[in-house]
Amino acid sequence: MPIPLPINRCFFHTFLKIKNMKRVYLIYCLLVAISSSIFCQTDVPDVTSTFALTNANVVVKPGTLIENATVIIKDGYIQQVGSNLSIPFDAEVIAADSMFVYAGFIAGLSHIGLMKEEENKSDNNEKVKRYDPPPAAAGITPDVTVAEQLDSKQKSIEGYRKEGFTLAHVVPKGRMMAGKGSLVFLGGDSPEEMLLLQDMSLYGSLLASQGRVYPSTTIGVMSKWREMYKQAELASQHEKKFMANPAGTKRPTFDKSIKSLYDVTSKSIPVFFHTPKTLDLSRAMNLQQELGFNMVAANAKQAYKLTNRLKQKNIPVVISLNLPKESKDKKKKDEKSDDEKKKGDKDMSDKKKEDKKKKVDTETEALKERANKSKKEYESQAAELEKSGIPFSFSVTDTKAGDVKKNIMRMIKSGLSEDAALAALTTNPAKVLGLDQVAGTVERGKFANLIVTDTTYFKEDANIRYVFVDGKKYEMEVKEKKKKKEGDSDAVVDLAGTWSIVVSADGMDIDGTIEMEKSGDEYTGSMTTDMSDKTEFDSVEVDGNNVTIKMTAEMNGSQAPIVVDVVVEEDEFEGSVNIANGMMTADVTGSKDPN
Amino acid sequence: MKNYITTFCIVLMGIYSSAQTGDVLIKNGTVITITDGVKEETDVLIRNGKIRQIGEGLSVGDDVRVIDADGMYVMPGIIDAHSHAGIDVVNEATAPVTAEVFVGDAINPYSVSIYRALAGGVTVSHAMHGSANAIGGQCETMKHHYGEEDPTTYQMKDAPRTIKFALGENPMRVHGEGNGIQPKTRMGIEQVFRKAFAEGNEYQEAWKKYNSGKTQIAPEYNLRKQTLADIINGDIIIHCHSYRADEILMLMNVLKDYGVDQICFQHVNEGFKVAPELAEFGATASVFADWWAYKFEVYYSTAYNAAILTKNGVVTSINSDSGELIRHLYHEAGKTQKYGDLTDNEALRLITINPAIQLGIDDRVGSLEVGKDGDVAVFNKHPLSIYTVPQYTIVDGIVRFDISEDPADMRLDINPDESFPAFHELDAHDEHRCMEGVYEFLFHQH
Repeated sequence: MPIPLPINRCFFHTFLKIKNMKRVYLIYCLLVAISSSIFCQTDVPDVTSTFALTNANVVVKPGTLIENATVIIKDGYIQQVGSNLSIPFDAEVIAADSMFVYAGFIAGLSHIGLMKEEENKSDNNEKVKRYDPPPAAAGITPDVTVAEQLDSKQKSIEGYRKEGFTLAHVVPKGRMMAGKGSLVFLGGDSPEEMLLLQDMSLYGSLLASQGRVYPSTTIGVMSKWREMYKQAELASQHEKKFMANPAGTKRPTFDKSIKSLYDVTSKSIPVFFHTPKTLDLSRAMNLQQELGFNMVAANAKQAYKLTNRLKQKNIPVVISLNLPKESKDKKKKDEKSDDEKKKGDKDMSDKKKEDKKKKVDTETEALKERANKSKKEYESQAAELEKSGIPFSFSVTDTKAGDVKKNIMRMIKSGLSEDAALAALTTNPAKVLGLDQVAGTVERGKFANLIVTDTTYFKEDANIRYVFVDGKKYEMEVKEKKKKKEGDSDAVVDLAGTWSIVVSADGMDIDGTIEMEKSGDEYTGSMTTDMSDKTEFDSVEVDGNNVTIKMTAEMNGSQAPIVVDVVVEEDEFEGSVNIANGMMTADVTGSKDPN
Repeated sequence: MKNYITTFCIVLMGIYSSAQTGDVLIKNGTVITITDGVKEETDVLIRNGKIRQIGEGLSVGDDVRVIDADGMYVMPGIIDAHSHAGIDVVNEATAPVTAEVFVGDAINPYSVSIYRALAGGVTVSHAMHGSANAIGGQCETMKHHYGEEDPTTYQMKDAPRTIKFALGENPMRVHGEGNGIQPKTRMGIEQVFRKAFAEGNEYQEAWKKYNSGKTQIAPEYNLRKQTLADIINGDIIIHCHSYRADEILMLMNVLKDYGVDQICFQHVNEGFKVAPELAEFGATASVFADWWAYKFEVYYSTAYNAAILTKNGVVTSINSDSGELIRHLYHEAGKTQKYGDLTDNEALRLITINPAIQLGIDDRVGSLEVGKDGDVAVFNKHPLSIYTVPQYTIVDGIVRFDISEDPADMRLDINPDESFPAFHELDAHDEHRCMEGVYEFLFHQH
């Protein structure tokens, strides 16, 4: 019977693993490997829960490096770290010569592993009383627990784990009071296995309801916070009175929203307050000062403006790992305007027009310069917090896994030290989340949450080779980094056919199709997406394998130009979509359907 | 480039100066005090944000900025009793009564409208909730400290609380037509007020019982009813959006029944019809100079409104309700000389001490007097001249507008992902904003 390829590969792996083990295990392992070989990709039970990472550079914690050290993991915990350790007989040995071992990263705030949201039933809103909507429509669901929304099969778990995250503070999505957060291992076969600690935070914001129901504005939300907080304080007092002396005491009526705030008003759990902008932060801090809850500033993008107050109030910060778009290459535009200038010289009658245009250009340049300066401020938020001595960790609620490393490197370029960046990924979140006894460093007794990189993590081309979560090993494939495609004006492409496309913007993927027809040298066609109706193309320009498609769509009652710019390579393309002259941009990829 | 440096300096000033008071000496101006006549070639000295001295030949050390106002006019900073500038939210239009909400929670120090108001000599504005609800939200009396980034620094400390009420078509449209609930008619609006006040009283009684030990368990806390009780107790001044005389009389009758006596009628386009009644009640009026007929209930009015109200002893002000009018309230005040022959001082009172009285802050601002806040506007010509141009605007002793240092780009907070499309949308702050945020409610109706 021919043996299918996966078995061979699997067997080879298993063989490598066991070459350092005692013989008696070798036979056992072989049996396991062969008996389960058909499903070996996922279903092989772990042959051992003991690992030895030998001869590695161990970054115990930010600023502390032990060279040529061994890390021994057993049953989910770090058993020993040091030199000249004896390797346990049952350990799988990973020769980590020249590699670096770090504590597994901890996401200070995230939506990792959440089940897909149900479709919003907008029809329901018709029957809702605007002035007295049900709590879910109002965005007031402090009783929601994220632990019940976890799904161990979600791709996001693997996605962030690949970037080095091993533990995450996961909070539900929502508005004013989204619900309770939990601490979650980014590995495990069921939500129960992933869950470390349930309901250890409340995720709150000043976001108004989405359905034009009360509270529909920031001011409505602010007063609702005040009212519910006070109600919870009084209700918990009432409940205590009743419990102490039920006979003759008025029976408390339990409101699940109010009751679930008791832990907040008693300050047993903190509120992670969504405060991306300066104003969100100062408003939330005013509210905190008024009501007195324990606060963590979450998803901050402009905390650099309020460092003094944050420090004074001892408020920890979870900064957003999302950054503004990088400034585009200026060169290209300068060339363009030079060309235009030359044209203008040729035609002197257009001189007046040119002058006017120049004035507009100067104005636009000045505006762009300020926008770029602002970008730099956002990029240096982390560095500013480091300078001010404010401990911070990272939130990935609005950051794609693929942007994590890139944006950390941008922050480092803007002045953040590598040690502070590592602290933000490990020791700081451990401390803020109450995990410093068990996570955040490579030390004896801590969870076996580790990452192993082929060179120091903070090199651009470093690769994560292994991630350990809760003692379980995940080996990473090292892929050649995809270079950004550059157009080739000599290339020849055939666009005719049907293309499946994915438009990605703000972490959301929209599927769609492009139909292309060729008549003579010209292309015509149309685009349809899940979010928009069929739109015919105004023009399709082809220069080698650079393709520019222009169309016009109705948006909010006016006509907006849409430009799709892609580079085609055989049956694949990638590029960008620009809507309404830069009002919105998105990435797009496409692949040609067979036939 | 120079503009950027200046702007940058202003930004730095905003971040690093926690003090919002300063020192300045204004020399040799024609000082229009409002409450103590006009003084030629007089100096005004402000120390630590307060007016220290008004007199001739005052001097200070080198550390204090001196403004040479020779040939210029020095008047108290202009006060706008009805504006929506500098706040992010105007209407919480989801319920006919939303007394608990407070626009002071949504102050936006990055709103360039505040700087534009300064450029029109306005130092204090009354940022109001909109008129979508019969009882809207609480308003904020705001000092124009443009350049500061902490919203709380804009709140005028110790100014009395104020709240927006609204009569007529706006609440009827939003809730009656739009949502099928009371108030559908002007009669309904009266009942909304009566019911709200009754609830406020009931709530207050329940807490009194609890606090005096008559009941063991605290009543359910309700911020809306608590605010209504505060109105009944006289802790909050009502500012009511109004047009028609019959409704104005109606509200005064309701207030009498609940013992509430502090009210300023806003717009009050038919105020001239009931001026003696307003005066008798002690109500004040804040009007447009010459703007009406923009909808049916405000079809009938007159540019003589301010003058008639003034002559009948009603404390009257002229307001903007707009990010555009707020830049030239001195022109608006000047119109009462054409329509109604008010004197210079009567006309200027409409934009200084009178709005200060309406906001309960006349002990602090609205005239140039020793001990009052150092809020001053300096004009190159008489402020009621059509040719006048504001030169300096000073708030609490800090020069917040100086026409010689007026960069094109005064924004303080820049969106890093800002796009630069070929066309620009109209700046929303230039619009009249009383009904801001409610159109979406109306348009989604059947």
